Amino acid sequence: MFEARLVQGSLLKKVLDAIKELLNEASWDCADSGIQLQAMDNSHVSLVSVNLRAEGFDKYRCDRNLIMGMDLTSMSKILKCAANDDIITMKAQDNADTVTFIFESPSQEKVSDYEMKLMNLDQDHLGIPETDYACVIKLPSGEFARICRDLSNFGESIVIACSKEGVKFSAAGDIGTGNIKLAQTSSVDKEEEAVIIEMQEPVTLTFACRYLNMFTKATPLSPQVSLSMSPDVPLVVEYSIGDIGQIQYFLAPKIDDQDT
Amino acid sequence: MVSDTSIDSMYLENLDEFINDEGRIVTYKWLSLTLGVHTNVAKQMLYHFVSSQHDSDKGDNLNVTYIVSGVVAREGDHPGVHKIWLVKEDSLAAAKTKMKDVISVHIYSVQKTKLQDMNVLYSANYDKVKENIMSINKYSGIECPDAKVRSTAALAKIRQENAYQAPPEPVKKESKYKPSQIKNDIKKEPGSENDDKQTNGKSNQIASMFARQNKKVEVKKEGAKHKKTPSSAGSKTKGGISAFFNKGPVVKKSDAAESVPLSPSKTSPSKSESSKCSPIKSGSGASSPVKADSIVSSSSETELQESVKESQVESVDTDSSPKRAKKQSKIKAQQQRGKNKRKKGKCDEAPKMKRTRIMQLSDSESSSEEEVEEELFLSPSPPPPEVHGVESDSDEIIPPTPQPKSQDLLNKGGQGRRRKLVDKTFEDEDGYIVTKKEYEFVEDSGDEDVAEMKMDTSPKFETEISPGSTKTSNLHQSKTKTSPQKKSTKATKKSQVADHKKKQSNITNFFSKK
Repeated sequence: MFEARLVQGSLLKKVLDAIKELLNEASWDCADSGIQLQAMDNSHVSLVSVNLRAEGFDKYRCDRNLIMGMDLTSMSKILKCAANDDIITMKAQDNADTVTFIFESPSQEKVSDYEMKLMNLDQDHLGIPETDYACVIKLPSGEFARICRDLSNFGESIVIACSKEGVKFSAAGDIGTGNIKLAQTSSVDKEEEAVIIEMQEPVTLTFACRYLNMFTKATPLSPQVSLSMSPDVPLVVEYSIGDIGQIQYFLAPKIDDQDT
Repeated sequence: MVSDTSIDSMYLENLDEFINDEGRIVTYKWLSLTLGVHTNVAKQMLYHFVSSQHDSDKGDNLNVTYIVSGVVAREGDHPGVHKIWLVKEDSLAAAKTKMKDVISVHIYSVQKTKLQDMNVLYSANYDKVKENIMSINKYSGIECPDAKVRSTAALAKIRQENAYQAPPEPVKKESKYKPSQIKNDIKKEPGSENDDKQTNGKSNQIASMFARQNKKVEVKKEGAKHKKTPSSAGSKTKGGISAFFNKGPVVKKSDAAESVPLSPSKTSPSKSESSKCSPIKSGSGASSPVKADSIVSSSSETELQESVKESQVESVDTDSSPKRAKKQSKIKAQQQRGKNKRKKGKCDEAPKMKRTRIMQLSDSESSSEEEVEEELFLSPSPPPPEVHGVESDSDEIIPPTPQPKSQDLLNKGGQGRRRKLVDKTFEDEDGYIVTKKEYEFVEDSGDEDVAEMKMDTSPKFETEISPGSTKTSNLHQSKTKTSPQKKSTKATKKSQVADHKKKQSNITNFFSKK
């Protein structure tokens, strides 16, 4: 029997919003420690990893490890039926072929439950090596979303160049070029509003706007986003999910074509 | 028949789990079917449970529904009838008083939640009843030995009979005994031809109860398949995705395809058109067709067609000066071709669209120039072939490219380069003098002016060389396309090319499979 009750149901809604555009279906791995999801997008350019810790739930019970393959579009439709202040409970029997979502209004006066069929999905897990990134940039998530959105008007790629002075996002295309430079915030009032750069060496990498824009769908989850880069490894874009976990996006950089 | 010993502590624990832990609505029916005990035992268990809970002070959060059966007193026209009511605990007393004779009071269900609506009691039983529909009275005290389950063959037979004689009397008779069958038969009566379908389709019917098991499996399998297809498609479409990033060429192709019909009359349309509209007086005609031919032979078809199309467009656009020579348009076409080729050679991915913009640039600039030149630029598509710097910039997909200037800034320490707009005049093979604006990369040193001067002030001399060289370079897509340009460009170009060749890598290259 698996049961997870989340008083802050809106978090789960936001998580779904953050991944449904990138993934059509994915497996949720439920274990005693919590719920995890890892999946690549169809084109295998990016990878999403969601981690929800058991402690984050108000009630969490997972007797046996369970893999629930879900159609995320359907799941998102179901979660759309939940109000933002609803308490969401996910339930599944061991070896069940369905999962049940129960939405309770805060006053307990309205309780809805939805049952969704599970899918058999191929497990295609990737091992993500622990990496010590050369640059870790923390910035307000809204700012990052804005930058990606603005620069995607210019071209398909965004160059992120991180140096001592700060971080520069640039794009170029038909209509011209755009550059956005962010310097480290000197005086920090609130940490989530600051731009913080931890850097060992300067890094410049090129990424596809399209994916970055899809990543920024996670913006409502967290006021701050962290970008980790090292030369020739995927970018990591990480948002925390309230205080119950985090969502990480890995995006392969565009690299020089070796043929030429 | 019910001994207290049968209600042992285990059952009570079970009940406690059902009600308090799982929050179920436990009706006696559900309980009897779940635990496989007689309904009366189930009722007693419920009673025991409720009383034990009340004893232990935990009963406060329990809600109990009673089933009260009795004879209701006559009211008005209604004669006294035997009624069975489901009532909540709080209205139990009231219900009892309404009855003349209370025959029995049993616990119907126990639940933690407060029932807003009695309907839920039905749904609480629903699944269990469905599972046990064939033996629903297994544990009940009501029996009918005459009720027999019919075989499917027998059912089919009856159906056939029904088909002939509309009023299905025999069925109804039978049905008295076996409620589940009534359903079956009644449902089947209307459309006996597609019975089978119905049996399959209606999940409530008995036969389908069995089929359903299989169906579920099927569904599952299908689900799996469904899943697989997209994913495999996804992996296949890797190329597709890369195509996404290289949209340009795709568009081009479609253009070319569109223009295919025009290709046979490659030169003729442009000629006819140009006779009307092309601006420049014709010079020596001979060379151009030859050139065109050579182009034809050397270039790939798509390119050709495309260029032809463009030349047409061009000539249509330049409708201002009808008298000018056909040759001019041809020249343009050639230049066009050359350019296209060069472009192709340079970067296959370069989206075609981008040219437009360059044109505008040259357009605006050339507007102030002599007519001849203007003609050349008027058309939307053809920028001067020499505009390598600009072109490559716009062609390159990738970011660092577009800013040679910024690059220069970066390079400040060394020999800074600067992009300059320079007028170039030369004579093309047909003898026309052509002046073009083009971007040049100039050393940012003192000799800048000199260099410029060179470029600027060598009109005819250079023309003799430059048109030829540019043309040939264009035609052969050679790297020497830089001929009119300075060496410095080469360097930048290289970097640009490198940039533009950037390719989206795959995430699986970085992470190994577990």
